[in-house]
Amino acid sequence: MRLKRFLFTLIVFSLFVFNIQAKTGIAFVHGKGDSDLANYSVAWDYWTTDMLRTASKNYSIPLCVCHYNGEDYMWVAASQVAGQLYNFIVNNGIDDLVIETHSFGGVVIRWIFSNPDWDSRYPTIINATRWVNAIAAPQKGSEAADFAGNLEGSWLTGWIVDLVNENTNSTHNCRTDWMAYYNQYWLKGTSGRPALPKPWYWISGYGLWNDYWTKFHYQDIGLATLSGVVGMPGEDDGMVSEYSAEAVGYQWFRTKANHHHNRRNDYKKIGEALATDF
Amino acid sequence: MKVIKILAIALFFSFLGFSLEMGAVSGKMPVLHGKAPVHKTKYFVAHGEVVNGKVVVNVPISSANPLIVLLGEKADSVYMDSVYKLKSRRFNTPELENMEVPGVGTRVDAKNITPGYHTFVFNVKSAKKAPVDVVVSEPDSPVELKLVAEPLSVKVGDTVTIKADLGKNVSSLKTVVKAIIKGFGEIDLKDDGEYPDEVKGDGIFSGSLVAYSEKSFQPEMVKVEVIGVTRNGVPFMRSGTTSFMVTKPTTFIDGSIQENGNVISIPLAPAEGRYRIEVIYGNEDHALAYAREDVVLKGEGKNIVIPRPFEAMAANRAVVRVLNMDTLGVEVEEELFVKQFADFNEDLYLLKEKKMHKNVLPESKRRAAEKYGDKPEKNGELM
Repeated sequence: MRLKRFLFTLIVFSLFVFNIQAKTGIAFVHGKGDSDLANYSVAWDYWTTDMLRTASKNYSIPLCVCHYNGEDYMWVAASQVAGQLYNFIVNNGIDDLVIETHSFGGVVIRWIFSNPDWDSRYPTIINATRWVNAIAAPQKGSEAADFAGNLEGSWLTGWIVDLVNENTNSTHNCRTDWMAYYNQYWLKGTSGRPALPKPWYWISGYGLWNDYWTKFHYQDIGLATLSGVVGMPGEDDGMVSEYSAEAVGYQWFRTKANHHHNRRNDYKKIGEALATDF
Repeated sequence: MKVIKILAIALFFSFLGFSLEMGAVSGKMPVLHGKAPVHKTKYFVAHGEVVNGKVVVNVPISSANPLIVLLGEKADSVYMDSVYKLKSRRFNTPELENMEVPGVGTRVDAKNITPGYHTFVFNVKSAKKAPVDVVVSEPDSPVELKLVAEPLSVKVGDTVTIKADLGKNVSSLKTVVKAIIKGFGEIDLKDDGEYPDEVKGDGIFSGSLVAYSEKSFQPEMVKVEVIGVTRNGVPFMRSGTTSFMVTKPTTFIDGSIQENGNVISIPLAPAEGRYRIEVIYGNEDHALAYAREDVVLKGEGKNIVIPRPFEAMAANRAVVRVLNMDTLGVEVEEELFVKQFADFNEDLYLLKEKKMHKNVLPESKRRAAEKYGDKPEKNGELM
């Protein structure tokens, strides 16, 4: 009887020790862009050193900066990201992963969490994840992607004159009608669909001009112009409407930082906010 | 007894297959063949060219304060009708290129323009001949294009209807609406009251086509261009894009889908590939539960049996789908009535739904939201 009690105590104690030795990690998944985002250094620059350093508490938290071809469909990008996350988790013994995503990166990660049987690496990633923080993710698509289909040298010209300039796969993926299809048939987390297996928190952006008036910041005027031209519904960050960013998960907070600034730690201290998870 | 039987079957199946997944869902029941979003635009795109350092476009303006943007070039100056110099701002925003919108451009916030046709001249530095786009956005115009292609998900041979709703302010007789579809060509959308249009002169222009694809799955893109006049004689243009998804099925239901209360049986015809079978249960419009199974077929047919989740006791209908995991197409989508084992309590359902969606932030996140978030009042309380 004593032996049984001793064994039971030992098991409980070892489980407790194992638990307090949970190893935390932080992973960043960037949004859409060029094919050169498949390079680690380009993906690093996408986030900026200040953002990565601040969010990882001066690199004290093991850090994984995912890098995939920014022109790919979400499931292709997810395969590239899954390889990097899987290796990061296994090689570092991570069992408490916080995933930070920006823009299309939030859709890529949602693909992984929505389709656990798709790839043998997905369950390891899902099980090791504490939660996902999705910044300005176009979960219901972006009207800016719809607009891109209207432009010269884009898909229409490409089809008619057989030029090569048609929109990339990731731009198609971000269209509101394509996302409506994926949300209804292939992804989890929206109304009427199964819940995502891990907590999901969104940060949405609603600012446009940001520091244009004080610093003449060149990125802000273009985003404000795109927002004005496209006529995005509700408020937006120049690229993604808030209704879309807020369609999946729980509210963390809204930020005035536009789509350029909300993946950085400059105009608003988004990196500091992410670091509060550790 | 029935409840225990269903529970036992569900447990048995969950041990059998790793890919079987079941659970509660909330929200509305899915719309068969998908719910297509309506694209709303108050802009149009005029395609121009840089010739001898100038971009010249002659376009209709239907509102007093349009936003006019030259994309692809920075202009030193902008003139309207050769006389009026317009105040402009140039920009260089590489961020826009992430969405395949030119990062360089010139923005004109025009004020108090008389409606009608105007010529805009952009004097640019570039001397080389190159195509550019001039976008005219008219947020305060009464003319809005609401564009939709329905259904969102179709099979080869199904009819797709494209509708362009311009509102009752436009002249149906003097407005031309064209839809351009890849691999199909152009179709005229009409507001003549004849099929597929429903009411003559209501400002909704309609056209239809029969979906076709040589591939197993093909998203089809539609571009709609509108040129016309309002009932007051003001000229306008609008453009927009939409799309629909075409599946060329690789399998089918060999017989019929059967429901016996505890399980739903889906007899799949012989095929090759990976398939997802999912069932969404609901009571009227309320989604209650979800069950799915992924299967691999290697040339054979298979009778897929999906157990009913416990959460679906009050369900009276179900939507069954067979999805192709190799192509992402929708092979089969059917609705059936199912036996209802328990009363549906709408109040309890809404209460549960509210509880499910209650935002309970961990303490660290709550404090961070207070410190770093802006305007937290919009979406209710922060816990």
